[in-house]
Amino acid sequence: MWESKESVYKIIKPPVAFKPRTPPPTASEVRDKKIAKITRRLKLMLRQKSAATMGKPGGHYKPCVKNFLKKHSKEPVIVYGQQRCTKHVKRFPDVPKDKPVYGRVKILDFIKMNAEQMIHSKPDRSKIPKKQRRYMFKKSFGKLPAYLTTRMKESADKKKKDSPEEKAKAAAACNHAGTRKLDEKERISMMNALKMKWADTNARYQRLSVALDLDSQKRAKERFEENLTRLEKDVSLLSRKVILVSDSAPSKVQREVTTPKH
Amino acid sequence: MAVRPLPLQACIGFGGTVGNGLILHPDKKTLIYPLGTTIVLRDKGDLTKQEFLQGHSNRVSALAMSKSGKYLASGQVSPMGFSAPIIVWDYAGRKILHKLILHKVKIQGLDFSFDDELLTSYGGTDDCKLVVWRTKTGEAICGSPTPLDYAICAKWANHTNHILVTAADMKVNIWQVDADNRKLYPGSCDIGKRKRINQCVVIDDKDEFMYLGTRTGDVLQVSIGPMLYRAGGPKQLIEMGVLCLQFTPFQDLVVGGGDGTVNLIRLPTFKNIKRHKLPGSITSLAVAGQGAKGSFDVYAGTSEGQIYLIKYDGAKNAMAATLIQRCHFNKINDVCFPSNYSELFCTASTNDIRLWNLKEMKEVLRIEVPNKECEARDSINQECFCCAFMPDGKTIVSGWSDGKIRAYAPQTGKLQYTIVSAHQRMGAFKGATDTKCFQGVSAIATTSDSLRIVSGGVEGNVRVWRIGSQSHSMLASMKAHTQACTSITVKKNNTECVSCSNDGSVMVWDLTLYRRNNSMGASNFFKSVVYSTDESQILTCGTDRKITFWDAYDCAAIRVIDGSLSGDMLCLDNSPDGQGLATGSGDREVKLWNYDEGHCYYVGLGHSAPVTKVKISPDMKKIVSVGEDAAILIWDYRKPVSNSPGSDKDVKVKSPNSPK
Repeated sequence: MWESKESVYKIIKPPVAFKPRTPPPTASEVRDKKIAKITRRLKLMLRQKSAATMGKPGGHYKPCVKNFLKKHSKEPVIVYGQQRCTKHVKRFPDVPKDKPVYGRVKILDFIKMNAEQMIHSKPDRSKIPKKQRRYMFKKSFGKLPAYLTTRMKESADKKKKDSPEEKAKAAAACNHAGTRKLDEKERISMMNALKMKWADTNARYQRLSVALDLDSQKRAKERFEENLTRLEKDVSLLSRKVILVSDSAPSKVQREVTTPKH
Repeated sequence: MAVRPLPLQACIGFGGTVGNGLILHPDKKTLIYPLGTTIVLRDKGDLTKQEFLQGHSNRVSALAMSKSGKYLASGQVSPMGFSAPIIVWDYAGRKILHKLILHKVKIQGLDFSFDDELLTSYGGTDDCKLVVWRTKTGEAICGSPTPLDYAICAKWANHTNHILVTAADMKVNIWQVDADNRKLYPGSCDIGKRKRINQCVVIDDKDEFMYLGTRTGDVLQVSIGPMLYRAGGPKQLIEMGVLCLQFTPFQDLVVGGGDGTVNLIRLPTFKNIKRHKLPGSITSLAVAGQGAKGSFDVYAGTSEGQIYLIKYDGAKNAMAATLIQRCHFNKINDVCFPSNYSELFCTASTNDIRLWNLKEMKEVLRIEVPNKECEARDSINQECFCCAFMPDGKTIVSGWSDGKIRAYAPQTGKLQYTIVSAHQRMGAFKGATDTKCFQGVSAIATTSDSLRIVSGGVEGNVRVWRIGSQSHSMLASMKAHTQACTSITVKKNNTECVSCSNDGSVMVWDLTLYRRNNSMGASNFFKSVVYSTDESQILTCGTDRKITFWDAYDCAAIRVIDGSLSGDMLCLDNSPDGQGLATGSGDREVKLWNYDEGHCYYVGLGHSAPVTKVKISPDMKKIVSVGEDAAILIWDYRKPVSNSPGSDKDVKVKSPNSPK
C-alpha cells in the first residue's frame, strides 16, 4: 500500500452545513448577562464564605500557573518595522517624481505685468501716518473728571458738617453745649468692633498656659486681664442708650496734645 | 418492449476541429458547438446547463446560425459514396425542420442569407457542389458544380440576397444569385499576382469589401463591386495561416491563427495591434459583446478542444483569456471511478490523465506526461492506455504506451512511483532490418487491499506487482496470451483474476499461486471482461459483436447475446446491484441491458466515434462513456426494466444503426 499522504476522497469537500447566524446581543442582553455573572459569583462567594472556618475559602491561595516570570520579559521590547532615528542626518526632501514639462515656454510681458501690478496694488496701511486725534471730539472734553466731583462733594459735606451752624443744631438737639448725640449706627459699629477685640483678646488669654513660670508670662497675663476689663468697661459704656460726644478734647488731654513735652 | 433513448445528461467535449464550429446565438446567451454527432447548446456561463440536438448519423462537419437566430443548419460527413445530409433545425422548438439530402461525403460549410430566406451549402472535395436552398420549404433552388478550387468558404452579403461570395485555393468568386429564375452567375475576382490559399471569408457591414484569411497568414481586402484586390496585411504574417476571421463590434478584424494566436487587426491600416497566444490552433471565433472604449469579448475555440473567453480592453490595449471549457482533444482510452465513490472520475487520453468532478463537470486535476519523457520516439504522442484508482484512494495507477506504469497522488498529481519496463519486449518484424520495441501497458487492475497491481501488456503478459509503502516489486509474470491483453478484472477477495486478449482467449489466473486456473477461447478479439456482481459469471465482449456469459467456476459458455448488429462490442460494465449491464460499441452506441433478461432497454446516441469505455457510477445514478471522438458523455442511469421512466427530453432520435 503506497503511502502518498493524499486521498481521492478528500478532493471534493463535503458541503458545509448551513449555520444560522445569531444576531449580536442587544445592550440590555449584555447588561443582563453581566449582572447574572456578578450575582453568580457573589452567590458562590457567599456559599464558600459561610462554609469556611478560617481565612479565605480553599483554593484562594493557590498560585496562578500563568503568572510566572517569562524569559526576556524584563528586557525592552524592540518594535520592528518602525523607523528609528539613530543618526541626526539632515534629510533632504524626495526628488519630485512627476516629470518636468520640457519645451513649454511662457512668454512674459514684464512691462504690462508691472503696470497691472501697480494698478492693482494698495498702500501698506501700517506705514501711513495716522490721523491726528482731536481732543475736542472726545466725549469727556470740557467735563470734570469723576474722581474730582466725588472728592469735591465729600469735602463739601465735611465742611457742612463742621460748620458751626450744624454743630449748634446738634447741641440744641441734645441740650448740651459743645456736644452732640452719637449716632446710633456709629455706636453699634463701635460696640461691635470692641466686642470683636474683646473676643480676640479673650481667646489669646485663654490660650495661655496653666502654669505661669516666667515673669514675662505673668506680665502677659496681667496685661490681658487689664485689657479685657478695660474693653468690658468700654462696651458697658457704649451700651447706654444716649451717648453725648464732645468734639473738642477734654482740657487735660487738650493740654497734653497742644503743649510739646520738651 | 421497445428500446428507448437513454437520456443524455451532459457532455464534456468540444469538436474543436470543425472550422467555425463555435457559434454564439444572437441572443448572446447560448453557445452552440458540435460534439461528434450531437450539437450542444450550452449556457454561456453555466457548463451544467446543456441541451442537445441529435439527428446526425455521423460527425458534424459544419454549423451555421441564421442572423435572426431562428434557424440552425448543420452538415455532417458520411462514408465515401454515401449522401451527407444537412439538417435545418427550428431553434426555438429544438426540432428538425428539414433534412436536405443532395451532397455526398462531406458538407464543407453552410451559410444563411441576411433575411434567413436562403441557405447555401457546399460540399467537400469529393462532392464539389454549391447549392442554394430555400429555408422555409427546404427545396433546392439552384446549384452549380464547383471545381476543387471554388469553395472552401462561402458568405452571403449583408444587405442583399443576390450576392454570394465563395473562396478557395487561389480563387475568389462572386456569384450573382437570381432566386426567382433559379440561376447562379459566377464572376471571378482579380487578386493580381498573389498566390494565396483562402481559408475563410467575411464581408463588411456595407457590402463594400470582403476580407479573406489565407494560409499564408495574411488577410486580403477585395472590393465586391469592381471585384478587385485592394489591400492586404498585416506585414508580419500570422504563422500557420489564418483559420478564422470575425468582425469586432468596432469594425476591426479579430483573426484566429493556426499557431494559436488571437490577433486584433485595425482595419484601414491592417496593423496587428494586439496578439494573444493560446495553446493549439484557433479554429473558431465568436464575438460576444462590446464594452466602452473599444473593448469587446470574443469566444475562441481551439483545436485542442478548449473554449476560451478573451476579453479585450480597448483603453489599455490588453487581452486576457479565461478558459471556460476544457476537455480532451484526442481519443480517450479509459475511464474509471474510485471504489464506491461517484463524485469523481478519471479519464486517460493522449499525453494526460484528467480527474473530473462528475456533478460540476469540471476538471479537477490534469496530470500531463509530455512526449519529451516518452521513450517511444516513433510515436507522435505519449498515450495513457488505462488507469485505475487504488481502492484506498491514495494513488492513481496508469499504464502508458511507453511500457511504464506510473502512479500519481490524486490531490497534487505528483508522481509517486514509476515501474519502468513493465511491459516491454524486444523483437523484430519479419523483414525489418532493426529490432523494435513492443511496449505498452494496455490493461491494469488493482486488488481490493491496495497491495497488488495486475497489469496486462501489448505483448500479452499478465504481471502482478507488489506495492509496498515505499517500494514495489514484481511478484509474477504470467505468459499465456499471444496478443495484447485488453482487459483485466480482479475478484473481490483477491484470489483470482480474469484477463482477455486479442488472440481470442480469456484466462482465469490464480493470484495466490500465480498460475492459470482456466481458460476460454472463441474466434474473437476479446475487448472487455468483467465479473458479474455476485462473481458467479464472467462476461466478455469483443469483435464478434456478442456479449458472452461464462460460468465462473467451470468456464462454460452459458448464454450469448447479440450485442450489436453492425459494430464491435468494445466495452461493458455491470451495475453494482447486478441488474443492469452497460455496453459501448463500435457503432457509437451506448446500450443499457437487463442482466437477467438479456434485453436491451435503452440506447444512448451521442458519440460520433467508437465508444472505448463505459462505466456505471457506483451510486447507480449516471453512466459515463468515453469515445475516440474525445467526448465524455454523461447519461442518466435508468433501471433496465420495462416500467422504468423514459427520457424527459423530447428528442427524436434516429440512427441508421439503432435497433428497430
